[in-house]
Amino acid sequence: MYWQSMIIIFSPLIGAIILLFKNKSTDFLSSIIANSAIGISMLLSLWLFISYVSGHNISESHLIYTWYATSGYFFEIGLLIDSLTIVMSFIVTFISFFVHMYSITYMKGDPSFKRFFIYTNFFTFSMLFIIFSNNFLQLFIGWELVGLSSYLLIGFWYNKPSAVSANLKAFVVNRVGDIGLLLGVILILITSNSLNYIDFFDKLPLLRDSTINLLGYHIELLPFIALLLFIGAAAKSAQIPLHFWLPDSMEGPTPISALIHAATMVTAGIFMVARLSPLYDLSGYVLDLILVIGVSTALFMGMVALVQNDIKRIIAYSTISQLGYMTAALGASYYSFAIYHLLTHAFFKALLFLCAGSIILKCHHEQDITKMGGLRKIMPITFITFFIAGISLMGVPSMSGFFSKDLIIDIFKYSNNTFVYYSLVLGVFITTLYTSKIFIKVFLGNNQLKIKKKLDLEHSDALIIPLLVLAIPSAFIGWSLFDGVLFNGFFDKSITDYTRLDQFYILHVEHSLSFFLHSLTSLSFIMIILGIVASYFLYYKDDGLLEKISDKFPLLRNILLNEYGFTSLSNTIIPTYFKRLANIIWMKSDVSIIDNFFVNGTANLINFISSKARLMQTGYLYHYAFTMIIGLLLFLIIFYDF
Amino acid sequence: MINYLYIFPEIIITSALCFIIVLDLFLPSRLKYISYYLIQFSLIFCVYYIYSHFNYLDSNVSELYNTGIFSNIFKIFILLSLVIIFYYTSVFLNYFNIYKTEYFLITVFGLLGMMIMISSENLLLLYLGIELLSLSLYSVIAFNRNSLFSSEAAVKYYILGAISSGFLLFGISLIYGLTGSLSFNEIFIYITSLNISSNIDSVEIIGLLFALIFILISLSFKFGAAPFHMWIPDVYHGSIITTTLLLSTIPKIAVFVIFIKLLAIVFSGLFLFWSDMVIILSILSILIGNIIAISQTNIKRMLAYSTIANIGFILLGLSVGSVIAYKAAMFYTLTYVITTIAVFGLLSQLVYKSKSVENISDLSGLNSSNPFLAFLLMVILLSYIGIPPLLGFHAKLFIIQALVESNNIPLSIFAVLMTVIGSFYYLRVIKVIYFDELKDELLITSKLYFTGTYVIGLMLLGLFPDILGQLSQYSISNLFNA
Repeated sequence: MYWQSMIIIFSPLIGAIILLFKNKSTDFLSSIIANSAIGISMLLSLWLFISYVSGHNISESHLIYTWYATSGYFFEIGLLIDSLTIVMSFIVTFISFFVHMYSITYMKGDPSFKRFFIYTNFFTFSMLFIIFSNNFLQLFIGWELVGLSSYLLIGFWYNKPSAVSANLKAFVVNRVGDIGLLLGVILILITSNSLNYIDFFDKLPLLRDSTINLLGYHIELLPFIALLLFIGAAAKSAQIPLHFWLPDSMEGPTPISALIHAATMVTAGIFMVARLSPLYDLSGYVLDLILVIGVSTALFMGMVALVQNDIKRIIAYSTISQLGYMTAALGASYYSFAIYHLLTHAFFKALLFLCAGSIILKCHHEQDITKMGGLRKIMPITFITFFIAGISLMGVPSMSGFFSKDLIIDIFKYSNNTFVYYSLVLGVFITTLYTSKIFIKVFLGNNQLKIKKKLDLEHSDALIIPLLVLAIPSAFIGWSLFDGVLFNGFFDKSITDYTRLDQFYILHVEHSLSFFLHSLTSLSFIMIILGIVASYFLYYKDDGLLEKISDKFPLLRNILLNEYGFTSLSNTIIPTYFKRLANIIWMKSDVSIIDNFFVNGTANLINFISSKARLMQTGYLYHYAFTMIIGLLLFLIIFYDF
Repeated sequence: MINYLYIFPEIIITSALCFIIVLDLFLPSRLKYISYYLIQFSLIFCVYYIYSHFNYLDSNVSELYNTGIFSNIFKIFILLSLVIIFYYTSVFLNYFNIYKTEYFLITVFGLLGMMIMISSENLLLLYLGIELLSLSLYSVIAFNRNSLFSSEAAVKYYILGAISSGFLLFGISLIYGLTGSLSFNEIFIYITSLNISSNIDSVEIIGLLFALIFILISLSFKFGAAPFHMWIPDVYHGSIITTTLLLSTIPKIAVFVIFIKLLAIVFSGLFLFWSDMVIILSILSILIGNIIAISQTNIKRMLAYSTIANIGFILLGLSVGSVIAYKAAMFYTLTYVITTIAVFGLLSQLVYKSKSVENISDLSGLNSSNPFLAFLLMVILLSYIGIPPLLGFHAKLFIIQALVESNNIPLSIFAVLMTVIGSFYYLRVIKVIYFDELKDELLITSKLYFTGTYVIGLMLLGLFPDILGQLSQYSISNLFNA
């Protein structure tokens, strides 16, 4: 496993380096290099995934290299290979490969074509670096590297002011989370003396009752660490209140939205919590907090999607909402369900974004869905694949999204957590509503943009194949891995919730078929039907019903349009007031004290000393000899009290 | 009965020298390169001999000449460094059509001096080694006879060197007068037998301290520690760049070995006294080196001051007096030498207006004319600053760590602050390379395959600091066990 994993991780990096140093390379050659680098990773991951699924389920940890060892601390780079790693690497490389393939067409003619592929290859490497990590330091490094690649890719078109402000926003918000993560990692290092996951897990029983003294309060250690790490996870996985960077990140190229802001990077937070499941099992009230955050994100961010008209922003809010479902599952300590939803979601959400990209490309970069319509005949393949991804997102029984999402909803149904249960079911209704909204506005109705159907296919093959390929797992992977993998002890060695999982299976699931049949009478299925009916009246029959409703509840509409105040918070309040505060600090402390006194003052002083001191070097030999004698006398005087 | 096999490496070098001197007389000028290759071959053969007889050489228990593991590691290091330096030198001399075999031959005499210095277990032998080295260095500095700077530098170095030799001899004679011996071992036994804390005012202690100051000052002069550094900028500036490369690297290793052997072993009983002296030397060196380097415009002078600052760091490590600190100091020395070979080697390959590079401004816009070269130079300079994950980072970190572990917090803060100030002048060169306008295209004397590989090796050493770390650990522990 060791060498396969090494190749999986480093092949994208090598691709990025080759592209970086290859000065004269045509677009065709760049895309070949980038795609084959990812392709190698993808094939190996696929192979490992299949061999793990078919029974070769082991967990191993390797040390690649000790960067630095000092007084008991080891800073290492290593590999932890187990089922969780393999699933994640399969998701990342698979989607990354098809997004790369898709990008060949999508980015065609862009003056920075090569730069795009350098970034995406580098991103894939960074993500794999996190996934295969066996220690917290590596996790942190990878965490920062994916943040960097995300920043670079959101601002890929750096001539657009909106892209630049969006990438700045993403970077700053993630910084808040990174501080939490870093503090958590430091706390782990000083309390357990080790950064290795396995060592840390071994020490958990010892640390269980310890507390730390924070400003005079004694706080339980483990929940505090879990909380700090979750702040990092929340920022990366766009959970309330650190979610508002994700909709803006749609300023980047659409393949990037599919790869980074839907399928892979934003799930890093979910992955981390699942990876650290032994810690989170012991963290009590933090789990409740995670649950609350997850449920409110799932419900409230879905509602915001209803009032959006930009196709990418709708899908972005949908992503946040689905991440909320995963977080809710984490909060309930069903980490495997979260990972399972992560798996299915990655496929159908990436597919939705790629379809959106295909639509946007066809509509000449028009993203407002109210201006589109009637694309069903013009883009039949996009139509079908979008349909599959859409019903998978809604959770229509038998689709992938159904198997993962209904599991999460069922956790709360059977644990009698009624409030959460109804919130999530309401979330299903909302999901159906906004998915149908896109579907109806884009594919049905009149062809408003007057796009002509060409004789050939809707796009070139390189763009169409990824859509078709991703449609397969979007439809089937949920069911096919249900009994044989998820409930067959696949995550036994990597995630601690297996006893709960077995119980859940025996008591509430029995078999995927019964789960499927049972769901046809469940509340969430009714919600889907209701949602489809409602969207028929609201969006298809154009009789002003929507306007009537929104006029009736102007407050609600304004709240949603304003994203519960987060828009004005992030676009107006923080910028103005913080700018004012920052200006004061800048003028008073930075310019006058730090810049003028410390920095420039020191620099000027040293420069002055330097310009004087250099005159000591007169060039006269007798001065030199004199200095030596003076030096000698100095030493003699210092060491003799004559 | 003397077993000559123990000094076979030195015999190889000496006989190769004698043979090549004579051979070179009879070679026509177009065949002179043969002598160059013969010299390189004999150096490599010497490395091979030492390497293959590592344990055999270690079994030598001479009172006069030590061929233990510690010495041999340094000899191999010096020989290999010299091979690289000779490569750069021959490229440089051939490009400017000033090739002379004597240059190499004289340097090899210096090498012999260094090998004697490293192995000597006797003060007189040490003195002979130092003189052999110095004499050959005086000549190579004056190699470029047409340059006024070159001759001036040589004369300055010669006269100051004579003063410093006087100090050394005076110190040695005092030691001999007090202890009746010149052997390291006997001096060591004499000093440890003195009860230092109780009779601190006794004649013996005062005399020993007097001698120690003289010896230390003379060695500081060779090392280039402030305030005995005055010759360094002028000599670096005056000589051709490959001589600067030679001067700034391997003699420092030899002097470092002497420093560590004398201070850590022979005078270990006087630790209380010499540690303060070394701290003063190191503080002055770091201050003077880093601060004056800022206002330099000539890159060789700038690097000369950077050398002084780096020497200060090595001395800072030595001043702590623990095994970890000696290891850190050795790590720093090796790092310094490896990095300096890279930077001067690379600069020696650059030609600006058909002359070798002199001023920092000559490098402006290097990135637009030769991005790969600019990248290599940037990596080397960043390593000097101590940016992780490059080698210089670990070197500085080990020194500061050793200081912190000995609870010397003020000095470690000083070291960190000075690193920040020191980063300025390296960063300025990087700024010139990357952000200034290209003036005249820089030419390179040869392809960059070797330099490229070397710098990539440097980066790998930074990624795997354990390689040099283990080497230092191994040699230092052998020094103390012997």
